[in-house]
Amino acid sequence: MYKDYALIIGINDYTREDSDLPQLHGAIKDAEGFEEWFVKDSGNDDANGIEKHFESVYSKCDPLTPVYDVIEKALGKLLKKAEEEPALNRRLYFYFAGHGIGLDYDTTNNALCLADWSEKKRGNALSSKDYHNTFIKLGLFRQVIILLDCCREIKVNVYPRPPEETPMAGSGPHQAEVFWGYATKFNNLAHEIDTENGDKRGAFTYVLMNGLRGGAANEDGIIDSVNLKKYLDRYVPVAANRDKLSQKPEINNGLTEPESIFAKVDPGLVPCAIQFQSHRTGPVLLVDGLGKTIEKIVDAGGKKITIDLKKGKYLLKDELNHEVHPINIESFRFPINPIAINF
Amino acid sequence: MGNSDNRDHYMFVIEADSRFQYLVRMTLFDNDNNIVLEGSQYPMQKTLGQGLYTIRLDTNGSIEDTVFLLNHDVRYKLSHCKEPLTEAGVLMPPPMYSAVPLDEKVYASSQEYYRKPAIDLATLHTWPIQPMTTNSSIYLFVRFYSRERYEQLKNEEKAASMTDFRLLNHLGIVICDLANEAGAIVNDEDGWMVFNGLLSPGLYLLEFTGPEPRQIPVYLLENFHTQLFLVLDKKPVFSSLRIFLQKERRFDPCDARNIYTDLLFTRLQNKDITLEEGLERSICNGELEGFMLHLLYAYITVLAKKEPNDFRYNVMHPLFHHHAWLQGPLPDWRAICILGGSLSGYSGTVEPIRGVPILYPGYLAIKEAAVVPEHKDLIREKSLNDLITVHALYDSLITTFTPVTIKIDELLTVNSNPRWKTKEPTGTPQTDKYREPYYANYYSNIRGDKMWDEFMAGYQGDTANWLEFLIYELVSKEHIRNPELLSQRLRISVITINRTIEEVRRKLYNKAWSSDNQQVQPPATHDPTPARLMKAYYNESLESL
Repeated sequence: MYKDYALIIGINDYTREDSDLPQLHGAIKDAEGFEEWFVKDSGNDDANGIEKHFESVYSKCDPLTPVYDVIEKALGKLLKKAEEEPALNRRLYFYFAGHGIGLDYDTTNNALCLADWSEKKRGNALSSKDYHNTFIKLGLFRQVIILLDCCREIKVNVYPRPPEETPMAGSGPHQAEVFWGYATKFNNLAHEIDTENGDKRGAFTYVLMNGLRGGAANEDGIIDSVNLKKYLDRYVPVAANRDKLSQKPEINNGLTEPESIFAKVDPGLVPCAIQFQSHRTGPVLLVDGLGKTIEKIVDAGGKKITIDLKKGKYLLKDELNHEVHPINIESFRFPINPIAINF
Repeated sequence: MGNSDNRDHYMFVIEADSRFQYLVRMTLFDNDNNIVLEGSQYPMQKTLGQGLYTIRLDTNGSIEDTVFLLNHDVRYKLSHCKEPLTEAGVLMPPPMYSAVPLDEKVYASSQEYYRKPAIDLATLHTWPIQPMTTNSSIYLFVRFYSRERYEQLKNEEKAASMTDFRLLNHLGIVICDLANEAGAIVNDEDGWMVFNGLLSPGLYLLEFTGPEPRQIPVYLLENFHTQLFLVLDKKPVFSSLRIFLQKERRFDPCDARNIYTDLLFTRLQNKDITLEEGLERSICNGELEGFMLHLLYAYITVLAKKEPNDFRYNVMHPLFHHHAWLQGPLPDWRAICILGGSLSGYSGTVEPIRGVPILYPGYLAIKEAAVVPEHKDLIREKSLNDLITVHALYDSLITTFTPVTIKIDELLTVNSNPRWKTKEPTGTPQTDKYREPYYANYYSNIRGDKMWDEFMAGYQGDTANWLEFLIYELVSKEHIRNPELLSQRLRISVITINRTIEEVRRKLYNKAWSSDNQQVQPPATHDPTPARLMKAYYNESLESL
């Protein structure tokens, strides 16, 4: 048995006075989505089970919260639990959705703006680098996962705050590996996008959650850090580009196997109903990701077939006119519903 | 990924029309989301196992994915139009966008109704005043994303207007106010504005006077023509701002120099400091020559931390010894040298830097270097580099800032005191230098706790000046009463820290010396200059003559 922990922060509400940080729309929902995943779906199917502890902090506008003390209080509660049986601790997740600011003097650090950040009070932010370093120095966790869905455009003279904990290196029993993911590159924006449900979500978290819920799974249904990184690198730009925005994440994977698994899903099969258009007189091939032909449909014109496909990439190819149609069962669209294709 | 070793292998080749060379980044993903090939210098090729692959074409953030099956040798070509090609697929890259109406076959933002006037009016005067002896000009082209967008915004009350611009010289004198006088051609149907005027070389400020005003330093060099292109939406999109310094007074949308200058602008803005070998070679061997192109290349080279004895770094030096760099120690040159490890700019002496760099990475480099106590004189008191500390903005690669008040010496010529004599602008770019107030001596004699007490008393809590606030916080909460320590803490030049402290203290004195308050008399040591002159001197609004 082992224990996982999560500190989850979602901030939509920012001070109105003397601040050019607009209110956000999706940060709280993003954080709630991550919380739900952590509680219900994170981990693998270890028979001994995982004990999960988390603290979540969501913003409110009246009174305006969270401020620094609220975050520190939540972190303090979490660390107190972690100190009970440190040998059993596996992983700490630190998730933040809100406004962020890049630092002109340190490209590896980011200010995670709290609700009371303003142009004058530029220190009202968390220092991502200092929190990262503290989590490592605490030695309480074997792995630290840092996921930051926020901008990194720079302003000068922003001095974000470190955590109050000031541990000595090697305080605890573990030497942590780290997986960290920034929503965007240094001095770039992270965007909120319109989803198919009509609400606004951070592009990074939107893809992250689709990946963690199965989009980044391999054919055995395992979502590990390698595949998650590749998935985010591949699909965050696509999600942003749908809204004609540009965003590329910055991910660093320091987790090593065999403990780099985030979740396991049932690899399952997805039913696909393919309707061929009447002009398809030539044979049509259904090819898998390795280029192997799964099905060859002769005289496809007007026919309809149903086929169950594993997660992966496929291609329909009309041998006569060379038209192709990609099928991506691994799509970041979630949930995975039966797929209808017209070719 | 399966039995990849048992798969048949085939050749994947991708080529590009010359117009797309370096402009389009290609990334090839395999079935497992692994990147197996990427780059922007064509042609590229690789032998790969049979399977499904995705070609991603990326132009300035617009992406387009194409999935294909590799079960025989394939050849793709990037082209702006479909051509019959054997064994090849033609891929049309997603369009690019720029404020500059460049090659219309590549840039969707190069609509003819913008491109044509940009070309035609680049060679014509729109400003009636023509200085006698100059072959330098400023060309400003402001446009909207499209005619349709202009139609949407045309009647919006709070939207910026195309003529919300004025040009100031280095003394802060308004040369031309486009809102009030002839000097520009405005097209109300398509949504563009052109200003084109011959001017004496020097430093100018282009000021946007609409909502959220902003100033941009514009350098005009002898026998060069400075061209600025900007997109206007509800307000100016400063991240779209592009500046060219051209030897000829014309604009060619298909000129490779312009295209690659725009490319490097975009890359540097996105902190992308990669350079294709072929592009670098073309710049270094003179095949591609252009002032801004070289400037951007130099920044990218030093930011990429090339070794000093690297071939490319050595090539930079010859570049700097011809063409416009000869005209003087431009601030960007000094900034590049600082980034490259030389404070003196290889001149041997560390002199104050005159003028603010065109590009903000240069400004940040100077600002950071001046924090070191031994190098504090890199920034002179009340120079632009000092004044914009609180005002600088970073949403554009070009250095821009909320308007700063440049003190106008001429205001004080009513006083016969020779210390107030003005300095005529010269042909070389120079920063403003305004005179020390005559009671500076009085201030400079006040040190120690009294100075800090005056600062605390003079501080007005509702100030918009965030530096004043930060200093106040550090003084009151952490009891830091040492300008050098504040400088180190805030990473701001001690010159700026001292000036800010002085200005807050002056507020206290001004309040005491106002004509409404006769109870506190000014100290007997300074001259009885009329209060209205003092008020005019410290008046925050810029008065034009």
